[in-house]
Amino acid sequence: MESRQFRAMGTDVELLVDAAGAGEALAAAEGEFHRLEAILTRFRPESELSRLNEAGSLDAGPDLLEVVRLALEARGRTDGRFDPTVHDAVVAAGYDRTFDEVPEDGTAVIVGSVCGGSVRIDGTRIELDPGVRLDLGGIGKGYAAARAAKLLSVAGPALVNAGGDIATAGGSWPVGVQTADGELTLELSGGGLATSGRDRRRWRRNGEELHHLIDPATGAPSPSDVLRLTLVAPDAVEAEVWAKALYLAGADEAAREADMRGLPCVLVTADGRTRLAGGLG
Amino acid sequence: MTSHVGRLYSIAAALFIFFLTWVAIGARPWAASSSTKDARLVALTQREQRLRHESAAVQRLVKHRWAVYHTQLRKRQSQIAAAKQAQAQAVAAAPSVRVVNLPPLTTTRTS
Repeated sequence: MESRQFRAMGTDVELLVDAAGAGEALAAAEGEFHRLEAILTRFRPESELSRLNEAGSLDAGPDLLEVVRLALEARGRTDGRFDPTVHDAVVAAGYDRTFDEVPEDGTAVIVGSVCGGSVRIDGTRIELDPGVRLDLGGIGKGYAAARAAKLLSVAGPALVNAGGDIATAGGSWPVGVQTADGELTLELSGGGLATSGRDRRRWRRNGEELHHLIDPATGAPSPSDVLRLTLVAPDAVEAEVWAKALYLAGADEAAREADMRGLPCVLVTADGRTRLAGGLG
Repeated sequence: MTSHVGRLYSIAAALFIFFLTWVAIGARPWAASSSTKDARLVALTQREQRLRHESAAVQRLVKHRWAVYHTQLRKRQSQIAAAKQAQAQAVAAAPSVRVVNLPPLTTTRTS
C-alpha cells in the first residue's frame, strides 16, 4: 500500500494505492488536485471561476464547463436543494475567504441572499444572469477526487479522500464514519462517499452559530436537525450532491428519501442519535 | 248424343282455356316486374362497388397504421432494451457497502 498526504482545496487530501511503485501515479493525482483547485476556487481572483463570477460570462475550459454542467444537472435532480448559485448567500453568511481565514466570531449582519438564478451553457460559453455568482465548493472536491482516483487506478486499486469526500477505483476499502458516540466502519467497494454537516465549517456572527450549508430556498444556513450525514453513491460527485440535499431535508425526510433512492447513509442528528438508512441498516 | 255434346263442350272449354293462356302469356306480365328488378340490381351493384372501394380504402389505412405501429413498436422495444442495458450497467457499477468490524484505512468527516 502506498499513500500520499497533502493540502489542496482548503482541506487535507489523502491518496491510497494498493500497489507498489505507484509514485508516478500519486504525483499525477496530486498535480490534478492543484490544477483543478486553480480553476475551480472562488478564493483566487485569477481562477476561471472567479473570472466567470466577475464578468458574468466566459468561454470556459473543459473542467469548469463539466463541473458547472454537473452542478446544474444536480440542481435539477435535487429539486434545487443542491444549487451552485449560493455564492452570495455563503459570502453574506460570513464565509467570504478561505475557511482558515474566516474569523470564529464577528458582528457582520446576515442577510438571506436570493439563490436559483439562471445559468446557461452554450457550447463552451457559460452565461450567468445579472447578479448571479457560482460557488462550486459543494461539488469541486468530489469531482477532483474522482479524477484523481481515475489517474491512480492505472497503478492499482485506489482511494482518494479529499477532506471526507471519498472516491474509489477498484478494491474494497474500510472507511471510518463518525457516529454520535464513536465510529463505525463501512466496507466500500466502488463508488464514492461524502459527509456533509455543520460540525466543522462553522463560525459565529452576532452570537449566532452559522455554517456553510446554505439552504437555497432561504439563502441562509440551514436549520436542519441533522448534525452530520455520510452517504454512499455511484461516484464521489453524486455522493457530495446527495449528502447536502439530504442534509437540508432534515433527519426524518432524509432517512425516508435515502431508503426510497437506495442511497446508503449514516445520519447523526443534532440531539445525538445515529440512524442508518438506504439499506445500510 | 249426350256424350257427343259433352265432348264438344269440353273441346270448346279447352280451346277457351288455351287462348286465355295464350293471351295471358302474350301480355308478358313479368316484363314490368323484370324492369323493377333490374333497377334494384343496379343499385345493389353500385352499393357493392362502393363497399368494395371503401373496404380497399380501410385496408390501405389499416396497413399504413400497422406499419406505423410496427415502426414505433420496434423503436420503443429498442429504447426499452437500451434502458434495461443502462440499468444493468448501473447495477453492475453500483457501489457495494456494508458495515464491518475492521479497523478503517481512512476516515470520512464533514468536508
